[in-house]
Amino acid sequence: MASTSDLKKNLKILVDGDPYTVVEAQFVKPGKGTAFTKCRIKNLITGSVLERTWRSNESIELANTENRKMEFLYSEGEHFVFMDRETYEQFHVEAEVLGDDSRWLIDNLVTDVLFFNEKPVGVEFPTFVEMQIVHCEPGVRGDTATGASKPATLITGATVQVPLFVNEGEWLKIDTRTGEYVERVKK
Amino acid sequence: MLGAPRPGRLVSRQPPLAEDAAGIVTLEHIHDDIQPGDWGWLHTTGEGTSLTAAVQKTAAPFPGEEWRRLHRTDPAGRSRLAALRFRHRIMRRVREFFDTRGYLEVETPLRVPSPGVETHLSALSADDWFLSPSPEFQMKRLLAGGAGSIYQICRAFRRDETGARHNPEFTMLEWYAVGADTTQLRAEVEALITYVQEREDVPSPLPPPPYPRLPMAAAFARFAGVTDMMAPAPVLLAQAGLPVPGDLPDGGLSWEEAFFTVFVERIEPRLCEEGPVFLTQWPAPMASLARLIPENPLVADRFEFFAPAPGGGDLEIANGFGELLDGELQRSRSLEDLAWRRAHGAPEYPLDEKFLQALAEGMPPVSGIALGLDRLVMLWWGADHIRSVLTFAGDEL
Repeated sequence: MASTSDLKKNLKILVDGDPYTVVEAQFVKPGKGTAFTKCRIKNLITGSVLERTWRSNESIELANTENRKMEFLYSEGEHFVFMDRETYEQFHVEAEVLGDDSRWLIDNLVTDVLFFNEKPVGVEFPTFVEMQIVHCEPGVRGDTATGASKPATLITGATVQVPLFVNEGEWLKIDTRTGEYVERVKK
Repeated sequence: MLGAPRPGRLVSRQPPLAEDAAGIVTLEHIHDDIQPGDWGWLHTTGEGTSLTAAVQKTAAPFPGEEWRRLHRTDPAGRSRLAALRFRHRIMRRVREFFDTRGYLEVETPLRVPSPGVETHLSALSADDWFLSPSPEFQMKRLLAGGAGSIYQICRAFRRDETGARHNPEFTMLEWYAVGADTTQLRAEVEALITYVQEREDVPSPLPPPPYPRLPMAAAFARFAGVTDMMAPAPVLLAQAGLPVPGDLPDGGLSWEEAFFTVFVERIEPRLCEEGPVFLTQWPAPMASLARLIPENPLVADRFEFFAPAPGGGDLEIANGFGELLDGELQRSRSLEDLAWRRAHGAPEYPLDEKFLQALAEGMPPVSGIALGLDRLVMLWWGADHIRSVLTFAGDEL
């Protein structure tokens, strides 16, 4: 338990059973009366943002959350297996926790895994990942200006739009936030 | 390049050259103990390329953290130092306003034996006394002594009040207009804003006065759909469409807590939609040191001035009272507040007997108001955090 004076940006709290992080906290005390802390909070599992106000005499329940650096090992049915880089402990993360993001999971990728009550509930990917193209139409030399693009299939099965000059077998840098091609990388 | 000492660095001795933020300056003379590469405060006299300079040698790297703290610019390209210069101009105009109106500027002690017993007030202790959360008691003793209309710009201290709009130590402008009622006092707030607006180059985000007066009951009806602001807690919450917390039918909330919950959740976000507003006629239980309105004793002769905040929502700027003159009533209100504090485990502070005595002896009819100067400056400067207009916030000490 914590008090409302602990409500600061990035505090992890429990609201209606879900873990939230405080995005913004503002102390207000209108009319020399009861004090309140008005917050914007973000659900750590769904990402949705809420506004919530607490009276100063209310207590705040802290969420038992932890971020651990984990390496992706392999997938197994409906699960993805990650390993803690410090303790070598292995965890099964359910596919639904990753959703669409599982398409960026390449072997040995290191991610931040969010644990809530000792269970993995979220995986934060690095902003950029590098992946190899396993299939695309042959490249067209010199065409760098038109902005035309073509689909390319990556090693994990993900598809991204790439410029026409890009070739099969090349490595790409991908922005995991948007799923967009950034540039070619030499390997 | 004439002017105040500024950070600079000696580049070479042959001919003496130095550089500062404006670039390379050529100097005809520089003190012998300064070596190329040395940083220092460059104090130049003369003009163009024939400058002479004394350099106050400093440790490198220079300018240091203090310089950067004051000169670092916000997204609008304005520094903290620019904000402090702006603040100085506002303070000077405020003093000028009251001086030209015949007010006496007073300075009352900051360390006092009683911080008052208001229910939601937490005082900072100073030895066996307290740092004053408001100069009200001492200023009223001066009024009882026949000082006439007075004003003060002072520090006020309130414990546990920290945030984007609160600093535990803040600057308050408090004034008392002898013989004036709150209608006249509100007009004086507007006159003050007009006076400063007409003399300050930085445009004010406040439209020119006058501003609307909105009784609290009307605000509850308009913004929260509450028909009776004095209704019990569950009714207030239900009419405002707010959930009742917990398992108890009233959510364990007192009327006052429910009142302020509605205020914070429903009224404040929209109160300043159309600009600044005087929120008048507060419920009688929130009279504090204000009198009740003779024609309607359910409400207090209390008002607050709110203005749109730079980051959205509203900013509470000032709190005014038609002052309570009845010493016995003031004493019984204070005793009630003290009983509340005891029941709620809040620290119990001593009553200010000399203040109560002064009221009992008789204070002239007067209206008084406290205005948060940091907030006014913050609003005008467009800062979304109070620290932007303070020399030092608490975490910078």
